[in-house]
Amino acid sequence: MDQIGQLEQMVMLAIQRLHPSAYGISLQKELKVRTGREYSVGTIYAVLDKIERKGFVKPKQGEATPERGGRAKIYFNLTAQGQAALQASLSAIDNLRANTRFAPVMS
Amino acid sequence: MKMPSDSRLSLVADEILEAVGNLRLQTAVANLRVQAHGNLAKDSGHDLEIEFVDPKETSVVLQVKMHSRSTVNQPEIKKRTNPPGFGEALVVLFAPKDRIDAVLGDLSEHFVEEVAEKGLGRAKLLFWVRVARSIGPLFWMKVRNLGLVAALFEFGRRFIS
Repeated sequence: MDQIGQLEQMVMLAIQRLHPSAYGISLQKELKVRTGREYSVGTIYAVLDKIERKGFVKPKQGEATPERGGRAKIYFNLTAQGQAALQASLSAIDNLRANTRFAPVMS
Repeated sequence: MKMPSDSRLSLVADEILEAVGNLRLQTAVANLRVQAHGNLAKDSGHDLEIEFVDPKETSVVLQVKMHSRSTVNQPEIKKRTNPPGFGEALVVLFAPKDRIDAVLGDLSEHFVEEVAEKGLGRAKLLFWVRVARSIGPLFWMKVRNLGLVAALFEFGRRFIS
């Protein structure tokens, strides 16, 4: 199974959280709220393209709205393969985190 | 049609979105359904010039001025509410063909939101920042999908056309 990077993992989690209305801007806002980082629209689409080519997400043409200048949204959903890859990746992180102790941070 | 003496009207959030949408589409602003203490008829024979005064999360106060239809400068409204065309052209040059509409749509959606929240000048600046931050990853995505030579060829073809 293909490996997934950290940003890919975060985007896939955001897609799952926003299901079924995950598209460029909603993903960008979700990532900003949850991680505090603002990724550019281009970065989001580059990651989506990468995970789409791995077969982890499936795009679906959405509706066009006036504020988008009549341009359609593209919604993304995780495929079964994507969900399995995400769960495997998160399990690996959880296993590594278990019983890991951090030294107290001096302020 | 009688205009309220205080021309500030409170609207609920979804109506604001509709207002923004109507401005973006250049449809008659007078068609806007206004829920307020004033009694503004749908087909009043007048256009409304709308300015966002105090954007909040759930309601927005608008400054509304009435004009007879002939005095409203439609091209000016268009100029005020559309994202910068040159920025959009850059996205068309750098983005992969199958994602151009989605990216431009997202940038436009951000722009419309920011015009309402932060004003036109700041919205334009933020639009340019978003374009500048996006074209690198978009072009890299195109190179990854097509290969460098084909991506450069397509870039040149679009640049010429």
